[in-house]
Amino acid sequence: MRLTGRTVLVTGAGGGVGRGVALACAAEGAYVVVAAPRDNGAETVGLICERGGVAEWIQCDVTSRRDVDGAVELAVAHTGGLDAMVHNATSRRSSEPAQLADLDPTAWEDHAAVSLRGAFHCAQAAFPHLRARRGRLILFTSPAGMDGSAMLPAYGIVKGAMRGLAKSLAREWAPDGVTVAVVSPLAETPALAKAYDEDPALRHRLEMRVPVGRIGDPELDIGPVVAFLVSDGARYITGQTIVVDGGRFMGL
Amino acid sequence: MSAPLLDGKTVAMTGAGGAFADELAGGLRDHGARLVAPDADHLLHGVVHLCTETSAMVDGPLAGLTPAEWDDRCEAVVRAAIDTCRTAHARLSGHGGAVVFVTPAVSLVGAANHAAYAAALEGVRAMAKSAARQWGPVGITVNCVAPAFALVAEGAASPIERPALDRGPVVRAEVAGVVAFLLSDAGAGVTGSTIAVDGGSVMMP
Repeated sequence: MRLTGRTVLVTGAGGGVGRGVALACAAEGAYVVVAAPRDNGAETVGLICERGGVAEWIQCDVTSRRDVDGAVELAVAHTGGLDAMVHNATSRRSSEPAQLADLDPTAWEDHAAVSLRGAFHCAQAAFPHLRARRGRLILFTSPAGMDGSAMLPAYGIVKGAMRGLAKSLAREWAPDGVTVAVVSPLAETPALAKAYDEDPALRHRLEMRVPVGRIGDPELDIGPVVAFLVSDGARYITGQTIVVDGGRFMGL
Repeated sequence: MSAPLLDGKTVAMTGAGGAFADELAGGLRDHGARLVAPDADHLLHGVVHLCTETSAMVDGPLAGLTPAEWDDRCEAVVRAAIDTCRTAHARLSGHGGAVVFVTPAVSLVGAANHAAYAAALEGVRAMAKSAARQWGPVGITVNCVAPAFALVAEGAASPIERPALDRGPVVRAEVAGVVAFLLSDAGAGVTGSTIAVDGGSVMMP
């Protein structure tokens, strides 16, 4: 197993892509710290333990620097270090349609707090530990951040920002041996399931736009790529956007 | 002789001021634009927003930033651009027009010690593309112009590649020229794009 002896912290790991990443890293032998604000984090840990993996849940709201510090300290206290910080959490309002001409300031604040400030908190809190282990910072982007989105412009802003942050930190941290990557996933998530409920034709429309013809599975299609990025085999990859979406976005 | 590119066009500038803004304004006037305040009671054709806040361009490692410095270099830059979206849409949507965000090229390939600012700029570039998609039906184009970082940040060497032209562009003539084109009728078919005006340093895939 490629991640035996490694500690991986995943934010927003209570469900969706974050849970898939947590499961896949644990399957490769990593000790996974499931950082999630709600007790669905404990369910993720339960799934990992059922499969013989090792993980623990810590209640963590990434908008709070104190919470993020607490999660990092727990990872280090329990395992001796931190090899990867995976910041996947986004605002619960991520899939709420909006008009840029009339963007609700509270919605924007939610996006900024979880995605932007959350990334700032995660990067700052993890850096000294990542430096000690020549570790990884993994962020998440989306076609909305590369190609814009008529439906989700606020989400697009924060997802675009993740790429600017990743490319810059890749340069800044390379002398310290820390690499940074940003993943653009397409996967079945609770948010997407909710969108299907509201618009039953959506799944078919989406699938039509994916050359591979289906929406990815968080654990089987996205998680293993992140596990690879955390592994030694990916040590020469930095600053890159890794698109894991069945060919949906090819604009780079 | 043909009429100037921006003959009869009124343009408002928002966002950061300073020497770069003054040069750019001069260049737009050279192309025949009339510059007005964004809230002025004129028919408006174009809005140019400068993401060149001096407070955002200070360099320093991310690990050492205070929350207030993070806000200055990242979130405040984005909030100012969002505010311009509100203004620009309100002032242009009746008759159409053009919006240009000036986003220094430093974000296109990232830069050490400018991570927060580069994050903001990539966020604004994504925002411009979303605005282009939302406002196309009301005849508003939205683009980004990415000048060489050294043009806006005093003394900043390009952290990236040597420019192909082996010199930086001239703001009044060469940056303003591209902005003017995007604001002009000739540029009306271009939207959601970023044009780097950096002498050929960054060349995106």
